[in-house]
Amino acid sequence: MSTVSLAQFHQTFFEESHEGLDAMESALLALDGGGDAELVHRIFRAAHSIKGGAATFGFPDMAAFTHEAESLLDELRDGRRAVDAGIVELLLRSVDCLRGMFARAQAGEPLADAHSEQLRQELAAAVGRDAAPKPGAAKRAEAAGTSAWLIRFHPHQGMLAGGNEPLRMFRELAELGALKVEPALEKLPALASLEPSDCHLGWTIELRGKVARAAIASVFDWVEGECDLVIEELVEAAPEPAPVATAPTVAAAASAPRASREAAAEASSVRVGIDKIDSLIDLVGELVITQSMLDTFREGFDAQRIEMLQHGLAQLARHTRSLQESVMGIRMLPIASVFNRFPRMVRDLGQKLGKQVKLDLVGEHTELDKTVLEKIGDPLVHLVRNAIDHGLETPDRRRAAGKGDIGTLRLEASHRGGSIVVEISDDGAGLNRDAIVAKALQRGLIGSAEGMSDEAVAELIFQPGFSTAATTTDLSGRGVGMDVVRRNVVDLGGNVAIRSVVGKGSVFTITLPLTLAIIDGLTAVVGDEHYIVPLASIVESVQLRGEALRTVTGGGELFRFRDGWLPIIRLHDAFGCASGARSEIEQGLVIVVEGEGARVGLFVDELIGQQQAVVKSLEANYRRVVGISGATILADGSVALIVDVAGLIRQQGRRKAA
Amino acid sequence: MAKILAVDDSASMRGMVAFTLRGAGHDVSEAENGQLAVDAAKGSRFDLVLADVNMPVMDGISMVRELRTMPEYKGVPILMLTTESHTDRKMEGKAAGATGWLVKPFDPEQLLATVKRVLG
Amino acid sequence: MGSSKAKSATASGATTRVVLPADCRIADLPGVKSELQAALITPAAELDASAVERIDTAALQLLAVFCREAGAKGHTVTWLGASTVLRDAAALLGLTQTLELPAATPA
Repeated sequence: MSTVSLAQFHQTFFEESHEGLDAMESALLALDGGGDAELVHRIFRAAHSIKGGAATFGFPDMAAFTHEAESLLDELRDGRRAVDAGIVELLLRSVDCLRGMFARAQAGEPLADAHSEQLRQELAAAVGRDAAPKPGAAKRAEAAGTSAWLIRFHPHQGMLAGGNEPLRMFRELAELGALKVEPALEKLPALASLEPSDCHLGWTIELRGKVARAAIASVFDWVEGECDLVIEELVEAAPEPAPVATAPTVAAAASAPRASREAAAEASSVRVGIDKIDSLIDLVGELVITQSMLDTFREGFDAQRIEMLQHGLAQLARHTRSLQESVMGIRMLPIASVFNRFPRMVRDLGQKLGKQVKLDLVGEHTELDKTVLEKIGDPLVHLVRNAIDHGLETPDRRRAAGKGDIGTLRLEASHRGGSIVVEISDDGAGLNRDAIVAKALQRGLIGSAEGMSDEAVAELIFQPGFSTAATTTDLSGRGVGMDVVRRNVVDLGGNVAIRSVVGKGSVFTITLPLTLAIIDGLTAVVGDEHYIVPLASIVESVQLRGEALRTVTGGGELFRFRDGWLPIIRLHDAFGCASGARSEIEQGLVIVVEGEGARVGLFVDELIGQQQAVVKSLEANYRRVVGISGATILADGSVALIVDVAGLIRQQGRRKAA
Repeated sequence: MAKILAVDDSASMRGMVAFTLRGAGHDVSEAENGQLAVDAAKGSRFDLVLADVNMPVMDGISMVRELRTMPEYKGVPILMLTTESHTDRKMEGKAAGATGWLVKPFDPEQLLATVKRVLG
Repeated sequence: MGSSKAKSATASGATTRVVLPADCRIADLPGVKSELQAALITPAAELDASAVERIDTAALQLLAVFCREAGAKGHTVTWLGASTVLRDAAALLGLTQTLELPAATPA
C-alpha cells in the first residue's frame, strides 16, 4: 500500500542517484591518483544514499548490491584497509553495474542479473565476508511471554537532554500491560544545585501481562548506554534468552513490493535551482505591474500621456526580454555532466593503448541548453577518442620527440559572444599532412594536393569516408568518421574547426549556439512568403549585376563571389512558392550562406530585417520538410519558415549529383 | 500538530519523509544538510528533528552536537535516519546527543509509528 | 488570575505564588527553577499548574525536588490548580504522592 505513494519519488531517486554515481566515479578516479579522506567520504556518502533510497523505494537487489560496496568503502573510510588500484577498479565496475541496474529499474525490468550477482559476490569477498545472500528480515524472538516483570530503570544524568523521555517509555510499557511505578528519589539534589536538564530520578516498575522480554527491551532500545536497566521475571516462567536492547526493528526488506510500471516510465525533466525560479517569479511580478500600468490607458488616452505610454512599452519590452532570458536559463545546464564521463574514459583508453594521458577539464560550469547538451556528448566522445588514439603518442615516441612521457588532453568550455565554444586540444603529434594527402588521393577526394594550404588539407579529414588510421582500432573505428562528428555539430546549429601544428598537437574547436529554442535570423521575403535565414550561417548579402552571373550546362546558375563562383539556390524554386516572386536575379538579393563546409547563394526578393525567432518544431506540428528546420510566428501573427541551410545545401548537392 | 525538521541530502528520501509527515498533518520544514538544519533550528523551534547521518557540508552527527549546544534544543527529540549496518555510527550519534534512530529502509507506516512514539 | 508566563512569581506576605507555563519542558525550566527558588524563601508556596499543556520528566523532577525541600523546611505547598496533562504525567512517573497533588482539584 505504501508503494503507491512512494512511486512518486522514484524519478527523483533515479536522478539524484545518477548524480551520485557520477560523483562516485569522479571521486574514484581522483582517488586513483592518490586520494584523501574527503574523497573516500564522498564516495561512501553517495553509495550510502543509493543504498538507503534503494531499500526504501523498493529495490532490494540494488540495496543488497550497494550494501556490499558500502561495506568495502566503510573499511576504507575507517582506515582498516588501504586504497589500491584493485579496489578502485572493483568499485568503478560497481558504479557501471549500478548504472545498469538503474536503467533496468527505469525500464521496469528485474534489477539483478548474473553479472551484478557475480560482482556482488566479488565485493562481498573483498570485504572478507561470506558472500551468502543476506537474510531478508530480522527474526524476532517471540516466546510465549511471561506474566509479570520487574524493571529497574535508572537513567544516567544526560538522558533527558538527549531527548529520551521516560514518559514515552512508560506509556509504551503501559500498552503492554498493567504498570506499577515506584520512583527512586534518593539521588535528588537540593533545588539550588539542580541542573534541570540532568536526570536524578530512577524507577522500579512492575509490569503485569503476557509480555515477551524482547517487547520490553525494545521500549528501551534507544537508551542503551544511557541508563542502567535490569529486566527480571517476577513470576516463575520459561527462561527468555533474548538479551536486553538488541531488538532490531527491521521487517520490510524481505517483502519489498515491486515498483509499479507506470512509475518507471521516464519523464524528461530538468532540475532547476530555486534561485532561477525566484528570479522568474520576480520578473512575472514586474510584468504584472507593467501590465496594470498599461491597462490604465484603456480608460482614456490623451497626448500628454504619450510619454508615460512610451515608458510603459519600453518597460514591457525590457521585462519580456529578461523573462525570455530567464526562461531559457531554466533549460541551461552545466557541461560538467558531459565532461564528467571523460576522466573514466580517458583512463581506460590510455591503459588500453599504453599511453599516459593527463586530462585537464576547464570551464565545467559553462551552461548549455539541455537539448544541445544531450546531443553534444557523442561528438565529444569521438573527438576525445580520436585525440588519444591518433593525436597523443606512446611514451617512447614522446621521449623520442623530446616531450615528457605524459600527454595532455584538455577539454575547455567557455562562452564566447552568443556561442558556446568547446575546445579539445592535445599536445600530441599533430596532423600528418603527407598521410592525409595520400589518403585523400587514394580515396579520390582530391586530384592533387598541389597548392593546397595546410588548413585546406586539414579540412579533408571532415570529408565523408576519410580515415587516416593505418589500422582501424576498435576505438576510433566503429565506422564513424569525422564527417559524422561535423554533421552532428552542424545539426545543432554549430560548427567544428581544426588547427594543428606538426609535433605540437591539435585543437578541435566546436562552436555551438547557446540554445536551440531561439535563433537570430534575417527575415527574407520570397513571393508571398516570409523565411528566416539563421544569422549564424550568413556570410553576407549582395545585390548582383548581370556580369557576375553565369549559367552552366544542366541549368545551374553561378555567381561571382570574391575569388570564386558559387551556386545559386532560388528559394522560390526550392520551396515551390513562385507566386509573386521575382525571377530576375538582378531585381532581388542573394544571401551568401555557409553550411556543410560549402557556400551557396540564396536568391530572395528582399530582406526586411533581423529578428529573434522562437523556433517551433515543424515535425511536431506537421512533418519533416527538407530544407526547413522549423517555423516561427511573426509579429503580425503570420507564420515564417526557418531555412535549414545545411539541409538545403545537401539537397542541392544530391540534385546536382542526380 | 508538531513542527518537524527533516534533514537529508537525498531529495527523494527527504521528500518521502516530508510528504508522509505532512500527510499526517505535521508542519514539516526541510533542510539539505546539517548546517542548513542548524540555521533553520536557530530561527524556529522544532518539536522533532529527523536527520540523515551522512551528508555533505555538515553531517548528521555534527549537527546533533551543534543543536545540543543550543539551550532550546535540550531534550528535543532528534532521530537519526541510519542503516542497520552501522551500529558504531548509531553509538556515535547517541554520544553526540541523538535521541534514537530510525533504521533505513523504512516505509511511511514505520516512519509515522516512530514519530508518534517520540511525540507521544 | 492574570499572571503572565514570564513574570509569574508573586510574593504577598508569607506566600509566594508560582504559575507554571503552558509549555513546561526542559528548555523552559531555568526560569521556572528560579521562581521556585524564590518560593522556597517564604513559608508558604502556591503552585498553579492549571495552564500546563505540555510537560516532561525534567519538569516533574524539578517540582519533586521543590516539594521535598519545602516539606523538609516545614513550609506548606498548595496547588491552586493542576491540568490533566500534569496529573497524568505525574501519575505515570509515580510522583503523585511526592508532589502532594490533591486527589481532585477544581481547575
